Amino acid sequence: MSWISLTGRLGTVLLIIGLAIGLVSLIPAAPMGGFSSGGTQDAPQEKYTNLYTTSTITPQTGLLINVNASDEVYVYVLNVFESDLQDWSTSWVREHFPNINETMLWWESRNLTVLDAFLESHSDAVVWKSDLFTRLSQEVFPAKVSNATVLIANPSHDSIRFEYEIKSITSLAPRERTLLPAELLTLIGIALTVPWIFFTRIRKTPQQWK
Amino acid sequence: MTEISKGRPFLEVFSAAMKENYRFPILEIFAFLYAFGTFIFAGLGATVAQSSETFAHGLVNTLTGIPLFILLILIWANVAYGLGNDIEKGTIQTLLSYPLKRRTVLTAKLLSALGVSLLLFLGIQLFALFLLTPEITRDYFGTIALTYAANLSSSLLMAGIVLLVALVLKRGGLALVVGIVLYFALTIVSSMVFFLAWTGTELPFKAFALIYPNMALDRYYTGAGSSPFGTSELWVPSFSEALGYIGASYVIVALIFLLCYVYFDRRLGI
Repeated sequence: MSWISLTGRLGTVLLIIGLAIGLVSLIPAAPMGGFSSGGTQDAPQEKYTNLYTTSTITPQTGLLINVNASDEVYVYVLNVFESDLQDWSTSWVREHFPNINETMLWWESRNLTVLDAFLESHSDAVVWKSDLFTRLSQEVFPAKVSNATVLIANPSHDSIRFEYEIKSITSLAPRERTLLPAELLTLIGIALTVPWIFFTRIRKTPQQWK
Repeated sequence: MTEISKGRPFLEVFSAAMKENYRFPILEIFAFLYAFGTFIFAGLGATVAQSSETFAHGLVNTLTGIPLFILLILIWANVAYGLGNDIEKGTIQTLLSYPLKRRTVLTAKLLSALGVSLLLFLGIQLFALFLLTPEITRDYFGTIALTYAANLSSSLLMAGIVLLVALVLKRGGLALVVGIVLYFALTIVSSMVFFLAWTGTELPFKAFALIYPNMALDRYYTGAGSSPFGTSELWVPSFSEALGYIGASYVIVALIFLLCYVYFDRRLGI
């Protein structure tokens, strides 16, 4: 087996693997029954609102988040239980505002400054964060097994109204992780295969002509 | 004969075996099936895992159904039809005429039949797993490697038995039939011993784990789960016990292959 044959066959294998992964990335995510949340509600100014909590999302079972807001908002998917976030937030407010009364405690714990403080001390808790938007449709798949608490944060000085729908979805392979490797493998495969085809199938050596 | 002059005949035998085992487009078809199968079958049974380590183990376990069977088909085809037919038709004489020891000829044939198949299978699956779950694959590579080792030992055992049958009977087709029957027999036995274990008789389960050690490893990772027959205290091994079962299974595999080498070297009768 010559070097040209060896690299050629390696090329055809890489090409085929690239095509297989590309084919997988074309298969869309499918909704999973049983887990969904949605509705229309108000997001108070400079506060965050919890939209959804689920026990487990994995690299193959994620969330489809659709939001349509009257003004620009952020959405966070955090690897944390809602109760843990609430406990941390209330203790942070108590620590910084020791004289706050119990009726105001919950409300103040929803401030974006509290969320920012939480994210600063738990930077690894962010599974995904959006840019500012008014309309969003996003599939979120974590890189590892995570809890998922979905929050919407309103940074403006006015209360806004938003519609949302969050569904559990499952995907064979998230497209953003598979498309580039599939393209690279296909290109490398073609680059290695072409010389092999040229020398063994199209142009024959003088010895082979005899 | 120097080591360098031995190297060339070895490479020639290996190259001839590669050409015979992986004619275009056999390698490409199997590469496609491994790559596609990895994504299609990965994770379907691992979604309920509560920790990343258990998820990593479950993820690899989901790949040991159809894709591993496809690997077995390729290995059986190479061993039974490749080597078995070489012996049956007498073309092995040509390979034995090389200035190499018999066991070196067998090594070259097995390197092509088993080594390249395994390399292709593991290479594609690990690459696909890395694409799918980069953090889990990186952080729990040890768990993933151990689960593959536990799953592959029974496949290697069956490959060894098919090789031994092909050598003894000198008939590739018959060896292939033995392999297929053995595969389904082991599947049935595994279900039976699992059932017996849930109902309280654990000895067959433990004995079977010697040739199918992933049973022990799976019990270690999944722990004392609920039984389909109600509350049960099915055996949960420690990590070192699970490692012991994997090690013992590879000792059995090594013994089978040693038997094949001894037979090929001394008693093949060619």
